[in-house]
Amino acid sequence: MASGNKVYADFTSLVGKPSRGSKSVVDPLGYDQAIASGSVSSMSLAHGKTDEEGDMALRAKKAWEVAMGPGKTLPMQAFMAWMSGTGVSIFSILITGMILMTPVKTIMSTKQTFAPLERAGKSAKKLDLTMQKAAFVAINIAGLIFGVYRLSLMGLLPTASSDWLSFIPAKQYMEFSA
Amino acid sequence: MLGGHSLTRAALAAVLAASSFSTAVQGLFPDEAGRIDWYRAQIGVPKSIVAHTQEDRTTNILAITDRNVLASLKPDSGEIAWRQIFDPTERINALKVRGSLALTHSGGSEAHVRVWDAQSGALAWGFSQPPSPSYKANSGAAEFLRKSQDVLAVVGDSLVRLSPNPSKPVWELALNGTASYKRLVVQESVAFVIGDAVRTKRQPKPRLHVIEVSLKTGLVKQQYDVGTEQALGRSSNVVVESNEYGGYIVWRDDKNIVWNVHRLGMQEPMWDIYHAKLVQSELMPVDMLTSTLGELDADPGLIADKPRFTLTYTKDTKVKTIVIEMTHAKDKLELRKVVGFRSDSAIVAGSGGATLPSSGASQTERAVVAVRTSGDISWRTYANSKTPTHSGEFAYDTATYGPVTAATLYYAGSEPRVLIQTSGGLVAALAPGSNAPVWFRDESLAHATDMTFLELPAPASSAEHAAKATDPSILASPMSRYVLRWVETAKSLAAWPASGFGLFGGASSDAEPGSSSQSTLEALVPTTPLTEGDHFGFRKLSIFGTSTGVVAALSSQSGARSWTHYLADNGTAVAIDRVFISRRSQPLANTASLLTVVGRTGHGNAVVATLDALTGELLGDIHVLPFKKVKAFELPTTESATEQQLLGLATTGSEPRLAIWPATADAAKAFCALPEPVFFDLGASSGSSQLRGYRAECPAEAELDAWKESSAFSTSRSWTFDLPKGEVLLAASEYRGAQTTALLGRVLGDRSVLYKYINPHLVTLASRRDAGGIGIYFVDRVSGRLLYSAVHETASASDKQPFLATQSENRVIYQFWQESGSVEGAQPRSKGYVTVVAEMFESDKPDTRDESKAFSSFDLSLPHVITTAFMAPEPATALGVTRTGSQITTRDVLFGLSSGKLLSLPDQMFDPRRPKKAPTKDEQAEGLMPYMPSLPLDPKRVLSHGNVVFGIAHIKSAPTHLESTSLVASYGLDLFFTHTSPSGTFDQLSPSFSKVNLVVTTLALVIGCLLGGPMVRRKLTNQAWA
Repeated sequence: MASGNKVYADFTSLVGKPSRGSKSVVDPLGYDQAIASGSVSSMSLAHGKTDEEGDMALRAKKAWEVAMGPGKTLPMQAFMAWMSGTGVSIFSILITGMILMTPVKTIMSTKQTFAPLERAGKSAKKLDLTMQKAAFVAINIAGLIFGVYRLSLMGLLPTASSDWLSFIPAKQYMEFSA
Repeated sequence: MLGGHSLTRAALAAVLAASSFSTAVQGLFPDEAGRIDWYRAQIGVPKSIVAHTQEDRTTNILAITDRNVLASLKPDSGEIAWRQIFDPTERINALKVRGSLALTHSGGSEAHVRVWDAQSGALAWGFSQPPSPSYKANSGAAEFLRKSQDVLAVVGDSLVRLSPNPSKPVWELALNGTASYKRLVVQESVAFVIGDAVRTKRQPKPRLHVIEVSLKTGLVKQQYDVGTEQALGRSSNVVVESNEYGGYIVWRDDKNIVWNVHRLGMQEPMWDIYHAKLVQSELMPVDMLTSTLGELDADPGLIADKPRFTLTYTKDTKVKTIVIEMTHAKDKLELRKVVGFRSDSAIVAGSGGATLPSSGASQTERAVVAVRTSGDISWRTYANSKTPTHSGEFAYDTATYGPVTAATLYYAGSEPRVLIQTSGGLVAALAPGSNAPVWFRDESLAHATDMTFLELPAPASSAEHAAKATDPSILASPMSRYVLRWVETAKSLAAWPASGFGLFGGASSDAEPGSSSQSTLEALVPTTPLTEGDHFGFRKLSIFGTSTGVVAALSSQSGARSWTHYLADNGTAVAIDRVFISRRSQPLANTASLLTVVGRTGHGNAVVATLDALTGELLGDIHVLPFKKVKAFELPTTESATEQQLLGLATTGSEPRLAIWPATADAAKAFCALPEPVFFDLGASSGSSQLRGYRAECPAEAELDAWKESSAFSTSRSWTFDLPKGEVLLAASEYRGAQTTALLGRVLGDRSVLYKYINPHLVTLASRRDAGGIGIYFVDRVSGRLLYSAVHETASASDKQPFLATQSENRVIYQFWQESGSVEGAQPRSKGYVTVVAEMFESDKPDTRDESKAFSSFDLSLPHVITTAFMAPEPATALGVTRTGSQITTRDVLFGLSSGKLLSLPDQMFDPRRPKKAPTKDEQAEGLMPYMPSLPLDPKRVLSHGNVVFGIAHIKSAPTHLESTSLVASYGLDLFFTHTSPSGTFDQLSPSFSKVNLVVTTLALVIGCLLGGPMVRRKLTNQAWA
């Protein structure tokens, strides 16, 4: 019934060792039962060490990629910012809000972002990703600075003297005249 | 089927009918109709009233007034039928009425004779005489010729005969400056010109000069002097005239008991001698010495059949008046007593003649009216006997408008009407037997010199009022105030069904009578003083001080009078100069608001009186101070005992002193405890060439303890500001009232700030330069330093084109007339009125500011002044600026225009920084309008809309409780009050805002929540089980 006119492979003929149950499942390609069960010799251990180093290098590389990720969005954000203009409108405010909020949120989640890369498994060795994290935070801070710069472009930063005008106390008059 | 159709039709018709009815009964309340202003047309206190009934039985009441107005009043209502307002420089000297024509003589050296149609007020024709160098002061008279429309007039230094539409006189006679001619007696073929002769070395005594002129040729028949020691207008002589018997001069020589009667034109004998016995009076020689003569008619020529005059004397402490008639019997003069009566307590005897229509034929009745001046008004008319023909009486309190000073008689049908005038400025028409005037006009306000707004106590429904009754501490926190407001609203809601759900007269809470029309319905003495304000501060008391001695309080919202009080010293009205609210009642305190009035007596002495500002009750006496004051101002401190604000009164003299009011030791100590020194300036009056600054000095403690009314602080001259040679002061202006500023600087387009230079001591001086033009000086009143000066070489300042200025915040706005420059090469591009704005900043560079927390005039900083000029659309008579509570709202500049408009233009229009080229990005960001040389006369910006508000001399503004809205008051001759919102009514709901919709929507949402809640909860529970 299952056959019909569809093509299918029957691996039962290849592997003689059936697994438990009536249905036998074929191991995937490249799967080594011996390595998986840990019943391999020291040779295989040595092979595992080099493997872990490679993995760590890979993870470090991956971490750099993650760290640089926000940097790639910066030009995009700048473009969006430019498109929305420096006027105070709903779009420019939304975009500026996004530009400002994204780095903050990302910085907050630095630990979670790098956690899977820092330690592959529970027993795996912890990878030192300080540099990547620093770069990650720095790039996000750059994003934030860009957001703040944009705020100042929009005139929303109280940097001008006019922003503090209302807080200047009126002068006391030393004399009275009529 | 058919029945069904007709039923539907009937139903439709019923619905249509119902809907048409519902619109038919709709009406608007005054506030809904946008009635936010009130207007009152005035004429001023009449100096002469001529009432004349013509043969067609129409009566004209014509008056010329101290405010230089010629007006015609409707005899039955007192409303203005028409009025002609003369230029202030062209004084109206005389009014004559003949038939349907009225004649006025006005002006001085340059004299004008005008003939008006008495019914319509239209100018029939006019004649002007150019100024004459030999003109004698006060010279001028005019009279109609008999049985002709020609006019004889003394104009300048000439006597002219004018015929209608004259291009030049029929003839002109030069008078050669021999006398100051004030009187004309016209007869059939000759006329007599009478004047006060010029004193010469040969004849140094005053006397009358008479010229007899032929009317046909204008040639002098004879001229002579008569009546030594006499001058026209004195109570020792009288000029009487009649058509039949000619004209006479009757006089009594000083210290003489007999009358000299001179018939005009008679030379031999010069005069006859008469004795009082001839008129059957009991005059003893002693009584005769103090007797006075008086004329009876305002326009003697109008009804000159038999000449009449009055003689008033005192016998046995009783004042008596007799009316004497002159007749001729066989070429011999006879004097006849018409009527005599007691005229105790200074009765005014006025007379009026009217062509009395009776039984078809017109006949003239000449009656005499006597009006009692003190106490209740009582009057009697006499015809030919001692028995009064008509009489009337009504209760009148002289403390409201002062005693009666003049009376005129006119007829409404066959019934007489007595027109009385009081010294305060009341004009009222009385009818026989009536206990109230037929109509009255309060003309005192046409002479208002100062006005102030008084905040009225909070209404009974306000939180303040409720808190006062229960627990004043509730007001301390905003939250409890809010709760209190809800409680009060809920209480009033409970009373809502009882009031028929507000359907009956809810919106007409302001039940004051509108006084834009003539107040025939108003009671002469206001019965219900206004004691309660409204929630938004629109209803205030506007308290006026007038030069006629009346202090009057009017509702700022409707113009209804709340109270009036007449102030007099020794029978003379106190000319009030300033009114001050010297104590404001606190919402929760039981102290009354006080009003302090500063004025002067007839002798010029300073007068101070304190009144209860809400009721007008005079508290204590009127204090006549033993000095003359030149200036009165508020001092920034209060007397501790009475919490009354101190007033400073600068006295006259070469070493002026500063008196204070209240003049108590307590107040003097409070003055000396002032942290800042007190400076004041003197000499800022027109014609002066020097401004002087003084500083008040505090004496020793012992002297303060013995402080009394005559005490004053000595002063030291701290500076003198001399105008450059060849310049005299034209006008000076200063800040009016306390200045509030919301922002201390102006934000520019690049968000930098130009800091405002606000100097409360700034005085703007304008001088007339001999070399031509006007000089402008900004002077600091404390240090006497010149802060800024400018010269407008093309400006010209004359009485007809006055200089006006107003100061607000850091701006000075002034207006002048620009004509071809007298300075060579200084040709103006245009001729017209120029408005200049000068705005002062701390520095020309943005963000540069004097950082010190205190401002001293002795600091060496000078303002950076930016100016610009505009062409004004029309001549203005007054300038003002709107004021709001915190000055967050932009201001409007207010112009009282001579065409009778009150124009309001936005402040931004007067910005000197308006770009003259294409505006830059920063300028655009700042919101600057590109410069336009002329100010628009936009009909939408005319606050007075259809009302013609003549003679606006003062514009005042007061804040309301709504920041967006300010009250605007303009007064002068007419009164116009309104309120305006320069930046729109941003803090009010628009009239179209539907509160019903809001409530329904809120309720719908609440119901939606209540209904939807359980449904949503059930759905969520079901979802959790799924």
